[in-house]
Amino acid sequence: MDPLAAALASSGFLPAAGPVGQFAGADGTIIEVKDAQSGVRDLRAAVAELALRARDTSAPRAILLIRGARMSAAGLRDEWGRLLTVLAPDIAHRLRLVAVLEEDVVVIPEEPWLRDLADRVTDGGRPQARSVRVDRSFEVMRVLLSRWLLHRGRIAVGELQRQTGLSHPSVSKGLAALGPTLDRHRDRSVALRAFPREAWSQLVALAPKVRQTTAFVDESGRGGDPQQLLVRLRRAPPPGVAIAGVVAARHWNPTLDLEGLPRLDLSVHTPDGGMDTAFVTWLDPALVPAPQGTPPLLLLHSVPRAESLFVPDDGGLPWADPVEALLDLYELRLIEQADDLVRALRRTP
Amino acid sequence: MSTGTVDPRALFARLRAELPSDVIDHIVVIGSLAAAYHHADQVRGGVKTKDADLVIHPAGHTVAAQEIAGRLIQRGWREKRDREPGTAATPPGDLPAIRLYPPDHEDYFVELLMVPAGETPGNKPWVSVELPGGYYGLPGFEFLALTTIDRQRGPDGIEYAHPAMMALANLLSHRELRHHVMSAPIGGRLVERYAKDLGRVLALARLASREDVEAWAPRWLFALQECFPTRWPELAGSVGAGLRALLNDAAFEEAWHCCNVGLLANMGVTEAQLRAIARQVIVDAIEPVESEGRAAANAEKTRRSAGPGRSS
Repeated sequence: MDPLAAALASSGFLPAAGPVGQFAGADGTIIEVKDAQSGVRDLRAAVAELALRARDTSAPRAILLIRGARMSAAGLRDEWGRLLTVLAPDIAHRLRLVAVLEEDVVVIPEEPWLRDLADRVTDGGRPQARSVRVDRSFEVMRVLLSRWLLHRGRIAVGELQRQTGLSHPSVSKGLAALGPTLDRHRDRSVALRAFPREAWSQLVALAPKVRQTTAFVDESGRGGDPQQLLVRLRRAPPPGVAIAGVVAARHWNPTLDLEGLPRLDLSVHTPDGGMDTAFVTWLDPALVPAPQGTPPLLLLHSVPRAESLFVPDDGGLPWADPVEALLDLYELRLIEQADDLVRALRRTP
Repeated sequence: MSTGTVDPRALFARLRAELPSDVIDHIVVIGSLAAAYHHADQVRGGVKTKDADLVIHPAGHTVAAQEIAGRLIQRGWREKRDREPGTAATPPGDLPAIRLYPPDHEDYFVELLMVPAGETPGNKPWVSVELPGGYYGLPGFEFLALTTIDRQRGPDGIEYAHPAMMALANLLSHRELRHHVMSAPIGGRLVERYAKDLGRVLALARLASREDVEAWAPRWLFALQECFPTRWPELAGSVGAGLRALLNDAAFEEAWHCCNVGLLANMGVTEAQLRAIARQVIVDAIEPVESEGRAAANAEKTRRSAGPGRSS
């Protein structure tokens, strides 16, 4: 679920059956999301489309949610007002506008519930910045490090390419980055001979972007309990989700010196790119995307390679591989515990 | 009690001391007093009510209700006259409710309600009851029977409705949001009745833990099947319709207001937090019950369409 969908879900609007960008609330209110409106012509087309949907349905309200427009807030207000005058009154009075612009948020009419909706989507609804190109060649190190920690031995480069889902040049680039910590064998197989400190430091520095981490906080005011979230998740494990973070670190190193559970980290397998976060709504509908600087209750980390390397568990919810847990410990600045984890795993054949 | 708030435990103790024991055997306390008593550790500063709503059981027991009111009056309980009582000719719906002050003070009053018999849908007619001062009305709301299921008993020995059952009765009473402004202001504001009652559901959920709210679902199903043996699939299948509609209704703010001047006073709950609580109630308690209700309704439809002799 992208941040906008999560924000709309937190207001009770879920994706509607039909084209992408349409949402519906329990009372039949509909939302049409339009990105990057270039000007008056786009706005008129969007209003006409929404008016037709409002006419054809019994929707008590129909909201046009615009994300980004080449119009000023004042211009948008004027044009919206003009457009409503040419619509049938029984349709016009049902239409609402929320426009999230670079510098302003326009809400027409100024109703508390609509303003609340606008506030919620403002973070998730701002025009998305051009997505940062993620260097996926780090997957090579992640797979090799996982094998090194679990004593899995060397791997053929072809198999490494299959597991990472990377092209041959990307795999070569990833292998080159490992420098002298990499053993290359004549049969075109490779393995790590030591912990790749230098490449690891680069990965840790870029981790939030490389892992496309999505953080959530509790909005109910009850505080939220990561342990309870885990219990709930184990009851009905969603596909492609594995336990990471401190819980996984304890799994891989039962003697880990760490009390309590500060937050729940989950790894989500995303071989097709997009992360499906719909299960978060079921897990706890009070979870909303975390504002910057707020300590999260739940974090989802993307695992984009072809093979998840998740380890099945009798409890139903698999374990993320130890590299995921290691990255989480580093993010929590639990470096000592991270080093302990590496030592413990290397000690155990 | 002079500040307008009451300590629910203290009020229960007074009810125990002031109500005759044979009356106590036939009543269940409901409403904000029961909720505050159940969550007395969390409801800081007491609850703003002087009204102890007493449901008389078993269902449809008009005579018992009349006897209970008569016995209280015999023992010196005094009528709280907001309106003059009626006559034998007054339509029951126009009669004043039975509200009685204890013999020696006016710190609180009790109001009597009756559980309607049967499971027929719709508003229940008030029942006319003759007391020494004239005729009064006994209200019996459609879903009041639910509050007599899973009754709780505190150390005082007085039974009160489980919060889950009060929440269920309120949800079912407002599956559609019908415009009806309360006649008396709450916290200085006139509010929609559905906002007040559905707000109460959210307050009860906020006072409970999330695990408690999850446990509402099986309690609700049991109570629905017990009280509405033929209607329960339809009722269960639509239990959350009103709360969902409230989330998109301007009156949600009124529900929040009612919580903040009522059971959640002094807890600093924001409107966004209350909305999050509502979403949790929907996922944790409402959806499982709706799903059971719809499955039962579909099974019944299939059974009927199979016709006699076709079912295995």
